[in-house]
Amino acid sequence: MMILEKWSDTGERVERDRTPDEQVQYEADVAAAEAAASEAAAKAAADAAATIAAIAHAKSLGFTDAMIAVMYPNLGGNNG
Amino acid sequence: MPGTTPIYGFPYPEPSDLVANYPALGQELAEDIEAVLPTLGGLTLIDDESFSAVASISLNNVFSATYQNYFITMTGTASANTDLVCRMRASGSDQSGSVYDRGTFACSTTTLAFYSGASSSTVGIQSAIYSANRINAVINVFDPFTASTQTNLLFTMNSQSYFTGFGRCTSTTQFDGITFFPNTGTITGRLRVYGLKGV
Repeated sequence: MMILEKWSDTGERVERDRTPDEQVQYEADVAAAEAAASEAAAKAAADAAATIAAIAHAKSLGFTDAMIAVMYPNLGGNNG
Repeated sequence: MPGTTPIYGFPYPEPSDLVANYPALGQELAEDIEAVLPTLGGLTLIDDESFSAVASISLNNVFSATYQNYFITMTGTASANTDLVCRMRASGSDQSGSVYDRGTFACSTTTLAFYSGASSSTVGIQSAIYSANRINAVINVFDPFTASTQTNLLFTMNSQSYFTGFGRCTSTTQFDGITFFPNTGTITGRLRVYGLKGV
């Protein structure tokens, strides 16, 4: 994939391949983005599991879906 | 005898003047206008670049001592669902390293989320560009060319969702350029950079 480099003062414009240093940086960027995406996905899964567990615990204490929805609106309490 | 306008002193022929008697008047007026325009406040277009299917776009020598702050617009599309990020640039090279902080609010018609990152290797302008949607972004860049100060960015973007947030490069390098790129794939579009006079 080509990269575009332009000098705004002269108007010179070059479309070229990455230099070896730029390729190293690009590969590091891709790895960092993939790691961040994995971390975000893991957090989302953990948050979802925690939500389910919290609702189940509330119901074990006798709370209904309607009561859970009022007390903890962010839980989305009709998961029963 | 030609008159002059009250504010900027532009020359003009009076009704009683024969223009042929003042052959240099037109050129004098044009030169006076050309000299005044850069001193006026507001936006001054510095660069206008269209690009097609590039993995990144770097602008060199777009920031200078002429302006302290800048306004950038970007429109376009992406080849893949990815993030749009940027790095500051000096003397033809991107500022690499873990010197970027970022905080972004992302909202859709039903959700609101906040993403943040400190000491990152890029400033994330948007956490997701969906290929089916256009990129419409405005980015304000503050003090990029001012030595010994950090460069701050404010941005707003609308693609799949609406993003607004801040970015900061904690390096105090004097930056004369900026690079935008998607984390994967390519982008196609148009980038315009304006200097903010009097701002």
